[in-house]
Amino acid sequence: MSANPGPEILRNRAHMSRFSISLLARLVLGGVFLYAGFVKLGQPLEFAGNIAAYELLPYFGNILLAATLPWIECICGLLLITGWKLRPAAALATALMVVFVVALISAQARGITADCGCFEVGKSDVPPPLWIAALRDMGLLILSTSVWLSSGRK
Amino acid sequence: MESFRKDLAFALAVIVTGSLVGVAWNWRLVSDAWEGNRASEVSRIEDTPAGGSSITVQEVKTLFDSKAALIVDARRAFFFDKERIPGAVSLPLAEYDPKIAAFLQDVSRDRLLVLYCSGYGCEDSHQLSEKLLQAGYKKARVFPGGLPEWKEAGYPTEGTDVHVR
Repeated sequence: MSANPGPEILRNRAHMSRFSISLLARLVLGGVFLYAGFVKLGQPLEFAGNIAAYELLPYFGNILLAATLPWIECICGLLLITGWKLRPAAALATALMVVFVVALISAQARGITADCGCFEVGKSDVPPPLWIAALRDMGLLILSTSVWLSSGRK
Repeated sequence: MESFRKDLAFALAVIVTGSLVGVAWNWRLVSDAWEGNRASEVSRIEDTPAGGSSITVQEVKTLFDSKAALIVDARRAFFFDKERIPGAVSLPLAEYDPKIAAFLQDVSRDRLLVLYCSGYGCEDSHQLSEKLLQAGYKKARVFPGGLPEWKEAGYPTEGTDVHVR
């Protein structure tokens, strides 16, 4: 029984809003990964074409990555959404985002015009500049890092 | 440190699981590529076994300049009218049955054909090439990049949407 209930209420409120922000961050991040993986599941050839445009891997590497990455993204997304094994899932998401950002920056630096292949496959009529995709992915990288770091106390 | 290793192990397990599912799901594609059955040039990645081989945008341009091939547009007439590769003939996949008779009369079966539609996401040109092969056109090639890749390469187009600058 505390004489002054004020600070306790404020503390609880702060806890709750921290909780719902991190829940929101986790759901958004998981949703993005699940969606990104899902749209690519059925089109490995087109996705391989996108990956090939980055000129980072040999032929078989492009095919293998196109076949496997969408599934990894989906699993990661589901883990983030459900919150099961959150910390390693968020760590994996962060690692993936680092890889994507590096690939995008590297392609842009080498003057490669390519469709991102992030949320759709194949060629679009006017591919958006890769640096915009890099900026977006850097935002996701920040998001995934914060989800990862804030899940450490569990 | 212990929890870091457990996390790492779980993350690796996710990668391995996703990879196994992905490889199994796409087994034919992956095993074909492993055996090197496809050409190493990545632009031929869209090669479909039943549909005749693919060609690159540069090859299409060469054929276009030399008039060595008949370019066939597999899209609906609506899109063909608006914009197309110059000199292309319209044979929409959706209207194959009514239009093939006239096509067979006008176009010799020895003719080299280049088929295109609206790019990598579009199956129509592949399916059209299958049908044409069955109809006796042994030299039907698919240009999988389609009109988008042609335009991206800076090559000319014609049609009601095209303004001459």
